[in-house]
Amino acid sequence: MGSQQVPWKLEAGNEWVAHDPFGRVKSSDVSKTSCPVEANGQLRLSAARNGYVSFRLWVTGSGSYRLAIDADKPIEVDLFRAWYHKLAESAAQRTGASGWFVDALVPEQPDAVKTLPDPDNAIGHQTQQEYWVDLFVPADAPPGRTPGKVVLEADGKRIELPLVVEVLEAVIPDDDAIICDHNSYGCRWLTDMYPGALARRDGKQARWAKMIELLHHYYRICHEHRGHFSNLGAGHAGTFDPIYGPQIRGAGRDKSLEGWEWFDRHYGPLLDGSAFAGIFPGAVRARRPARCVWGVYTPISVDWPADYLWWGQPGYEVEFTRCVGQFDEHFRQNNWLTTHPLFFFNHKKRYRWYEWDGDEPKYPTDDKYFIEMGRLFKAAVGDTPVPWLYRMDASWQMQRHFELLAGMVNFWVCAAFSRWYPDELAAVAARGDVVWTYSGTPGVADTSSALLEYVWRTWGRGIHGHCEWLTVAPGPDPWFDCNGAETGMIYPGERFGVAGPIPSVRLKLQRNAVQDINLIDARARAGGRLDEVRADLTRRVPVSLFEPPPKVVEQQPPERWDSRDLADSPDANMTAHAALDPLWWAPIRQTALGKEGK
Amino acid sequence: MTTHSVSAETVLGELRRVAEIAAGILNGEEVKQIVNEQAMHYIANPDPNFVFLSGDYFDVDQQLFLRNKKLLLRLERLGKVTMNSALWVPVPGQDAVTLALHNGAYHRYYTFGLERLPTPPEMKQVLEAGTIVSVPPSDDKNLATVLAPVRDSLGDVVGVVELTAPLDAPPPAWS
Repeated sequence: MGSQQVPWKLEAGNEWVAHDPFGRVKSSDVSKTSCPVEANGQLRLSAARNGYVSFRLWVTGSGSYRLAIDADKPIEVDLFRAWYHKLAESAAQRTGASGWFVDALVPEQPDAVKTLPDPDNAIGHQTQQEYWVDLFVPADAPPGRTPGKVVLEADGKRIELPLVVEVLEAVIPDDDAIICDHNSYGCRWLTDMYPGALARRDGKQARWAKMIELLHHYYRICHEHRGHFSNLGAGHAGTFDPIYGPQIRGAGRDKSLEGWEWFDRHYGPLLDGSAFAGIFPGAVRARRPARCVWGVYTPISVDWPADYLWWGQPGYEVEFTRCVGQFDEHFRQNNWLTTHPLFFFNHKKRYRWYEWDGDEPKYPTDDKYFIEMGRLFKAAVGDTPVPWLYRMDASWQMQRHFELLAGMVNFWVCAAFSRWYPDELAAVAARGDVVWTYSGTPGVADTSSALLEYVWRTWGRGIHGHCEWLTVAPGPDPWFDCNGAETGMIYPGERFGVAGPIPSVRLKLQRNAVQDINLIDARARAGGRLDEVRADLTRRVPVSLFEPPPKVVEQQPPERWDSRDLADSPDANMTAHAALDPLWWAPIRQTALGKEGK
Repeated sequence: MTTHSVSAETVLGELRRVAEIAAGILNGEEVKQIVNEQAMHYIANPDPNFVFLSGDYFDVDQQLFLRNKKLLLRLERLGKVTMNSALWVPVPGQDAVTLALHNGAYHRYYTFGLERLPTPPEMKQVLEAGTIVSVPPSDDKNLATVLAPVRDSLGDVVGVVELTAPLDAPPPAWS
């Protein structure tokens, strides 16, 4: 660690631009424009009510210091220390970036004595520490100016940065206009992420109980960040851990489901909303109203509850309709009539368990399975009040499947191919189906605002949600040997003494963008101008919503396309918009806050 | 001898009994046609620049796949111990095998997404000698496995049945 004295300095900046631990702007965040939050020695922010306004703070110096942030009531302050992830060599080679990148946000106690360089992050010659500040403005906060201040104390000196929050009349709706979905698989990954919490659990029962508790925290952190957590229990083979479903008893005509204890303990609080009345560790309190979770995966697969040995024979239909009917009945008996349970297949034939693709089907020979499953499902649940959705993760064949499976599949989670089909997407949404897209997530080394493209596209396209296929797996060592964390924007907090997940810059940016979209959407709908506002923003926002397909798409049927033909058009994100300015979201924020042109 | 190996011997014996039946009733003419020709081409000729090509083109003869999958499921249930089955076929012209199909979650050789595997020595022994081979648990795999040959109408060994049983806790649904 360096011994050279660095003069103390306190600076603030907008949420979209990060620094490295030496005070340099992250190279991919260097903008041609600016969006200052500080003017004339004062931090000035505007915020709608029932939501957050955020900014970054940078403390420069060396030695011990205290940092405190106050705002007058009813505004509440959350302070987070940004963790600098050291990019692994392999990730550096892949991304072309190197060094340290902020993302994970560690809840901090204001007034605690901190040190630069931060001994925990262990960066030689670190001269600057980044913080993320969330100011929560309750729905009943009075509009007008609310004062506050940021105070840095070090070496007996005090640096004060006054802040003013202009609380607007606007109230961010509780209900989100779009769903930002955080997907995950099973629960065994928790074992590696929470070794302390799970090592202390002797016996299977205690471990499953702890797994459920931790999963609930993931549901909560997503909910509090205006997102949705999805956790698929069944693997490609169709097997699942006991917390995801009841047990099977008997076979054929006598087959039934029993032993719902773990399922109820796991899903009951999600399905009646009570899970969201609690907080996730590290949070002060739940600030969003408790709601039933929007949707949940179920353990239903081609091999559960019906035995695939009998596929295509009478026994399969008998087992399927009996047991899926019982599953539905369990929901009715518990009055779980708000959440959408999903009838969904995730298996891929390339993994060799089954002879058809349940996920991203490519070959028309697989169509008959979806149709038969739809028939069986209808026979099992009939006109149930349980709001089931038959979900298909549509890919190569989506254009044809939209028509072929109309009236059967009613929840489409679409691959990036959907950007070639504006009319088809509109038609499917117009007939009342739920339409999402899916993709990966830009990593810690990417432009900070890159992941907001999906937020914009989801609303801009007039669809309902976007699934990021894995957001809870930031890698074996996200702290000192980070693989880029493209599959994890929610981090385990155990190493920081937090008994659950901790958020990230990416999660906060996504939340704030959803807030903006909610404001824009609500105002446009109230004024009967939704189409007009969407068209206007589409003209102004430099992120395309749709694009023409490559030649092969027009010349060949989907079963003849491959990743080589489509190499120029994979998962479109920031890489497809290299010239996109890191502050491209700022005009959307201005629109959301009713400050266009100001 | 440890408790672990006593248990393994019992399990291996039961796997061997089922493997003998498998060797007798699986039809190699069917087995070698499960993975279709185009899929096998991309498995055999991976393009390092387009690593998903073999996944893009993986397809099977659905009828043959299903019939053999069901047959293996029935064989698994003949056993007095919990076991899962897999069917491996050689990659043409290479010292490698690929999975044609499998059942359940217990595997000795398959790792998620595996497309081809250098032929393990014990599998090579089955392919070359046409004998049933037992594979005891190892330090890193507490599994018992027995491999059985699958012959075609000419008597050539064209596939390998893997029967694998756990010797401890159940595997995760997701690894």
